[in-house]
Amino acid sequence: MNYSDYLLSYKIYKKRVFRFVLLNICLFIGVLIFHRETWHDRFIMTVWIVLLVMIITHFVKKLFKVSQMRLKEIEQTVGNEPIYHCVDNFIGIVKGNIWNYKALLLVYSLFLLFVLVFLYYELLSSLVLVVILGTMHLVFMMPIVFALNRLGTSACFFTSKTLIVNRTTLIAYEHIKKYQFIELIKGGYYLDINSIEGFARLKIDEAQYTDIKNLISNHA
Amino acid sequence: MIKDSTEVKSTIESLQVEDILNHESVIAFIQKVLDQVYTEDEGKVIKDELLDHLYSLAEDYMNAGHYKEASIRKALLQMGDPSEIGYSFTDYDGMKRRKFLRIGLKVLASILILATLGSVMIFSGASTEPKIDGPRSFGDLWTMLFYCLYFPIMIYSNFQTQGFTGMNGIPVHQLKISQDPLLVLWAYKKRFPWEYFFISIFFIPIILVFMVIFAYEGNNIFLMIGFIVTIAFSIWLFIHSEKYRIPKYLILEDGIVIKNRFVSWTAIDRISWSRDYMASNEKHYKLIIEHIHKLPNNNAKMSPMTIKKSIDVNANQYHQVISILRERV
Repeated sequence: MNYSDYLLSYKIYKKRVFRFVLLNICLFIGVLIFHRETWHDRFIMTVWIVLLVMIITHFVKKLFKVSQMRLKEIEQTVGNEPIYHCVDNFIGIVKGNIWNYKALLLVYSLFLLFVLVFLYYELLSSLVLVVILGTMHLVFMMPIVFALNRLGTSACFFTSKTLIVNRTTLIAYEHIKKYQFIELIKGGYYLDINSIEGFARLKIDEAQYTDIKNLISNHA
Repeated sequence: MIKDSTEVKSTIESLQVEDILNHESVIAFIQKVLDQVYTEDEGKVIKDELLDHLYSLAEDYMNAGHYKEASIRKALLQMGDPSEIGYSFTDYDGMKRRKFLRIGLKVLASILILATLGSVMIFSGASTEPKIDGPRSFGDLWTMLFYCLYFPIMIYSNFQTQGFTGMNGIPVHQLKISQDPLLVLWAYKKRFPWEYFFISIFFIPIILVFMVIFAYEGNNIFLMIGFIVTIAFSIWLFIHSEKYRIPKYLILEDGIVIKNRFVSWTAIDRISWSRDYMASNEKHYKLIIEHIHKLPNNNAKMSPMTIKKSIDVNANQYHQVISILRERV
């Protein structure tokens, strides 16, 4: 598999998660608009919300313009490179901990849902509506939690000449100043890399250790 | 040519304490033992005991007919591995007791703070009028929703930022450490922070104003004093509990352990030294380790961040720390 194939599947799952987050937000805003007493008030509120969303979207796009350009540049540079090894970044969702993250996200989402349900009850005063809305929120939330498997938000890739860290940083092996393997008690290693492009701490399995060590030492 | 036994004895010098104290191998041996000892006071006691023991052993060898130099070397050999000796002096029961005490103090401080804040919320809630325009719980729900979104985002982005630099360290219990530490850094006494004490005096008029308002509204002034004292005491407990973390800093083959978190040599870009002016004896040092964090996306507009951590270094261990760091950073 090469890097562009990975990016394609990543973008598909990211879009799916974004759609469900958007659905949750739209449901919440819909309740706020519906809570208004007259259609005139509802129309005014809708216009204000649309304007607010347009302004926020405009600023968010400006804010992330540089990073988007950088991502495209990385894709053009290393898109066709085959991936030798995929490892986890220390700070992200590490493969060994993915169930812990899912559980944490589930608990947090349920707590958020709990607060929302009380809010809806104060706004709508109808238990039936509140139960329906709560169930809809739950249904829209589950795909987000389960998409963690595929998102691989902390994935790092070793290609023939570079290390791609979190899709945002390219570390060329020849630019590595120093590196260090730190053995873990449960097996595997942390690999600390300090290079001109930045620092990275990666989690490496036992099976990948020799290959990765040779890859870096031959080029660094 | 075989000498007469009386001639042999007459050529052997008598062993003096200074011979042991000034011998290079003995100095290196004692130093290696002390590198593993947790506190300076323990180190002083152990040093005297070791020197006494070495002297007795060397004397025995000399009485058996060996030369002075050979006696000292044989005595050193008989003592064994210095790192193991140093490590064997570790008071493991004392360590466990200190760990429980430290955790206990932190738990107590947390309970006191939570109880005080909870009491403040209850008492302030009881003294305000209920809202007229809507149910009282509605505003609280919006606030709770805001905090549900705000705090996790803040905690998550802070965690991510720390993790990017490697300076937040790896918990030591995750690592497979096959060797004894190269050096255990000794703690030293700090003086009372008079500067912070005098700065806090500036806040007294503000607190007095609040106390007057509080009393004017018909509340019990001693309640407010109690809240302030309890919170100040809890904060002091948190800081004081760290005193029982011994050892605070360890130098290993692969990096430095700072309060149970491991920072690798690779994460350290440069080091610098300064005097520790908070030390009761001004001759102690602060070792500042720095990581220059390049921001992601090669953002040329923003200059790199420097993340620093400081480590207390006892003056008696300054030269050893320098020699270890010289090879590794």
